[in-house]
Amino acid sequence: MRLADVMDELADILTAIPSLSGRSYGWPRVDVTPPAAVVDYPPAIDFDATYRRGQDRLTFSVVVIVGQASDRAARDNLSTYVDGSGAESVKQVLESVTDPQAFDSLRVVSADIDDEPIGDIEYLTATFEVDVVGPGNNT
Amino acid sequence: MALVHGRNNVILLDGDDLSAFSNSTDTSEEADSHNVTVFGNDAKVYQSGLTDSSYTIEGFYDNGSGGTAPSEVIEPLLGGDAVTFIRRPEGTGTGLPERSVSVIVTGYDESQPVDDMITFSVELQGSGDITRSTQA
Repeated sequence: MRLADVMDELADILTAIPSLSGRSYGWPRVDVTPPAAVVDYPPAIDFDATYRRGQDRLTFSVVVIVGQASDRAARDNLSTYVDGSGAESVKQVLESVTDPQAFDSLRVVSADIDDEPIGDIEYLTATFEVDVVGPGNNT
Repeated sequence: MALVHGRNNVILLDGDDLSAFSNSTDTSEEADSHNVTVFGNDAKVYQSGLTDSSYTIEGFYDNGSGGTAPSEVIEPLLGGDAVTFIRRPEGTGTGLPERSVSVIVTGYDESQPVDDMITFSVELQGSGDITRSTQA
């Protein structure tokens, strides 16, 4: 798996979420206007899940910056992103991909909700842990 | 002389390469022992008998349909005729070791946990001698 290809494809998949269309980025871009989704770098890559470089495994953080933490609308939007299903559900949308190109399979494992400062403003964020499995030899 | 990592292990079952789907191979080789103790011995005396071998391969399920996915290779062999199992513990290459034996497939299991990848496990019973060779 090529890291950049996986990150770009995750961002592309997220553009299917109406409120994130055109607002999803395959790198940890900081100058975003909420709502927006950014795919952060995996902290580690697990090589050799199988013999002969057949499979590697990565865990990505997909961060959805929802809105100002003090804004009630941000809470409502957050609810749709962390919902287990629905057109705005990050889990459902990511896991609904049927023919991924840069990887074989993924699972959205969990979502952490937090306040993150961007500049001087506290933004409500949902960080999704995404388990990605794919070929280790770029074939 | 050096220690060798297992990541380059190559396993071929009935000519199909399962290496890229597999992450664990266990080999068990045994020999019968016959008690030939007689009067006058102070300790038990044994003599070796027939040898036996068995193998377990574990790995990840693959949804391929081109005839090379583990389930496509293994399930048709279950309960069937003996096939050749080749193991190259240090990988494929000139001068590297190879073990070849006829086996029958005696078990195939799949595990589908809700929070992880589907995995498979296959049990092989060796039939006959193990051929130990060096790859050309």
